Amino acid sequence: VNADEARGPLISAARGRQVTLAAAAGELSKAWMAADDEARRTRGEGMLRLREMNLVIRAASEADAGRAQAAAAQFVREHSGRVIVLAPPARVISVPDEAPRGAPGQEPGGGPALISTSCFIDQQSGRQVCSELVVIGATGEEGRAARAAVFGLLIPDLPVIGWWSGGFSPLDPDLLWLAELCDQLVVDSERPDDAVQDRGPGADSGGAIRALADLLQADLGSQVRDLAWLRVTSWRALTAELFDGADRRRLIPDISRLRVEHQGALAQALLYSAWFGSRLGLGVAGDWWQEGTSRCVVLRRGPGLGGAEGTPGSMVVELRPLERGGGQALGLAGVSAYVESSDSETSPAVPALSMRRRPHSDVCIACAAEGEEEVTVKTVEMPLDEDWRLLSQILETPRPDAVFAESARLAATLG
Amino acid sequence: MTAIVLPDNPFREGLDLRRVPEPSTMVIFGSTGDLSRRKLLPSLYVMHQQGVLPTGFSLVGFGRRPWQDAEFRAYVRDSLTESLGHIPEPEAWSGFEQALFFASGEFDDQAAFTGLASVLAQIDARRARTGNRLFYLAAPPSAYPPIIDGLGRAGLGGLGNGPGWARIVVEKPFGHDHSSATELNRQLKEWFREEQIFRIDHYLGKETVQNILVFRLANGIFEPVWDRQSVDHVQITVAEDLGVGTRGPYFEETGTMRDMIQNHVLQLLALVAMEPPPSFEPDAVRDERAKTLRAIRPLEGAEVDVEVVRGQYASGFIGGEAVPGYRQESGVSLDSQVETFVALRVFIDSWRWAGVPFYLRAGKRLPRRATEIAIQFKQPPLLLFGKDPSHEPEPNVLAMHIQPDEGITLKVGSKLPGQALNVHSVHMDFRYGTSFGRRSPEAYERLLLDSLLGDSTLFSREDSVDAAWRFVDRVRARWEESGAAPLQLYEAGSWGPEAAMNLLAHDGRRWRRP
Repeated sequence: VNADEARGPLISAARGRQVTLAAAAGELSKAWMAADDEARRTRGEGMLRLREMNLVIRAASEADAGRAQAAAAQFVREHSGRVIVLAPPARVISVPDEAPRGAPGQEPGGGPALISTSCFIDQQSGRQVCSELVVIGATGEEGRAARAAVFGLLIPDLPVIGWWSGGFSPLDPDLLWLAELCDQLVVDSERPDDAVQDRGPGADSGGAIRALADLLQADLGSQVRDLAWLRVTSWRALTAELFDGADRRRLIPDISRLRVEHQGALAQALLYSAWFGSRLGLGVAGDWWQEGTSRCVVLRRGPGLGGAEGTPGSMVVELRPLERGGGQALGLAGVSAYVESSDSETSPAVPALSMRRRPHSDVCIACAAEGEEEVTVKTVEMPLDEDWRLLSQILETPRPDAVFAESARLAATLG
Repeated sequence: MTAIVLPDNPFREGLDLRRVPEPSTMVIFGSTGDLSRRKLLPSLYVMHQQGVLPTGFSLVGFGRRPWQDAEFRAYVRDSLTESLGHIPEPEAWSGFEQALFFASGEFDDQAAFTGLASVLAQIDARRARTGNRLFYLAAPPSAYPPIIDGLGRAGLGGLGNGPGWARIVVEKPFGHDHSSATELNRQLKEWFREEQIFRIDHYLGKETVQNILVFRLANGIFEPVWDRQSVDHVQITVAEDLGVGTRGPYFEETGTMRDMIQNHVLQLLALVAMEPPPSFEPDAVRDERAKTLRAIRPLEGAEVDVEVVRGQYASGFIGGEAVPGYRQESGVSLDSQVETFVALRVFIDSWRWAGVPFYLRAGKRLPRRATEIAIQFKQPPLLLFGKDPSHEPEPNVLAMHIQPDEGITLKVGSKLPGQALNVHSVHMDFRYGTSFGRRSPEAYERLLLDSLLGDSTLFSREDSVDAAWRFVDRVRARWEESGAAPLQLYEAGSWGPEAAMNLLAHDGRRWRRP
């Protein structure tokens, strides 16, 4: 696994060795035995490895495979284990020049696979990290054999995370296969090229969210996790914290508008808004309308929606897209909750609470209204969540998430 | 505003990823001292960076210096620069800086505490708005009584009728004997209830110490063999390679028995030997720890001469370098009788541990820094494979390494490859270093967060402190009698006096080499 920038001294590595699929498991064992011998010779003690999980990535395109593999390389720094990538065959054929080549075709057992093993001292933690990567060419008819081989490559009795990298449909047989194979199925309802400038709510942007809601309703045998939902976790946690104080909780019944500013990341904006609304017992969406650059919709209490006592009867959700400057999109950029003003004619609306990500930094500030003035109540680091961090979160919190399912259902009706 | 019945926070549901304390204000007494500079301020800053501190959190330094907030902020910034090795990140620092305040005053000046109450009220009105306060005693122990009294008389103690909660964290050493600890408890109880008092022993905040309980109680395979039926004996070692350094005068007043055994070592013993609590609620865990400490069989009179070895390091070599003896250290008397090493054998009079010896040792200027707990299991009832005594298999040992190489080792017998049936001991290692690539929080980060949350699980309760001092005082009383076994010198860089080896040798056992 290639994580050259992050890692320190390499203890052992076997990179990009091409073998036949049937030989992959045996070759991995041999690679570790060689590493163990080497460690005994050079350091006087055997190689220690601890393995926590299997990560099976299914990538439809070269680009998806590249992105997922880069994230996996970071992920295994925190959670050692075996990564199996099902990628377009071209990815397996393009062996690095320096890598030793086996003799695919001379050994029995199907198409080629690339195997890599690595143990290194992580520069940040100073700890030893060992991982294994198997890349298998698997699309079309050839994919069937490759998928079957995955069962034999899994480390026994360890959790399996299945990551579907790319657009998804709940009816795709490959997706259903992956769902059956794994304990947790990871999808991303936010495609990297999603941008609100291109597709606003009411257009096709909610397609992935609707697919997600369908996936959650299907009986897959594995738990569905969505990276877009996980990206709003820090925002949800900060929101909850701001409402921990009794004086601010008193504002809840009077919340009349939620403004979500986003740069790209429409799926996140929809999921956050749906979560906020559903927490207040709101669920019935009306039609969208335009206010300047923003798109707005009303959420109302509906029949059968409990809602906590003392929550608003309705709330306007305003999604405000921000222009994308250069560099990485901010994702969710800001959230403000406004309360009904007793004299809306004369008093300008002051957000009761607001959270804003500062551009060009990892810091988010949370403010609250003090009379007509806004004061900072918390400054917190909130780096843009990278996929590998989200995978860690998935592995560490394998519990079913009813709030997610509820929010995704509402987001699907919004999108 | 509409009149409502306040619901619980509806946004909290499903969010259990972090433990977030309520908005609060913390006051550090001794905010410019060594502990504050090296541990507390860096820990609070890291907690701030990680978003662990609550919204509206404020930190008030209280001290003699005639400072304004700006000077305290500059001091904190300099301290952080020193401990982090770089200037604090501007974005994070600006948020932290706004939370810093200073109140100037003497610890024995009641007017200063009245002023502090007023400062806290003003800060609270602007920031936390809850009245929640955490007082941290990081000042010298001699200042504890006036601070506690000052807080109480200013209405800042827990028995007042103010809004929010008040908690007080008391740093070690908690008294210097049973009598002084009892007096300190009495003073605290005058103004605070037991559940508001957090007696800190930073050892309990270490990740691997907490893992002792997880390891024991979250794995079904260990608890069934965790008793007198299966365990031959237990060894606990807290070894330091350093000498007393600049702490000579302090150590002359304490010695290893009070500095290490009374708190760290006995707390480790309690964690290893305690009964499983019925829940992981703070008092359920603390009940069991206290019961275990009370069940340690007291050592008294001449018995101490047999069961306890006390030593003091002489000059020697550590890591190939010559080091002075204890009596040559700065601030140490030339004829000092203070112990820098203690080894002892204790028994726990409980159903689970009856007859199982616990060998404890702690010392300075030992060959290496190592803290570990080793549980040696009994041999199988029939030794099938080691009929030749020279090939007798070694017993299984489960060693929990607390520092520096955190992890767990299990020693098991295995057949050597070959035609003969030779059994050889091998180590199965689990090391934190090969598993979790994530930074472990510093002990103080964990304990500060717990005290803000009101979780006292990892803090010592009055009855535990009481039991530990009772045990230690009896041993020390014998040492002060004429005719007691004398202090034994050991060479720096050795594993202590010969008598410490004999303590186990008499039982047909030997110390592990950590």
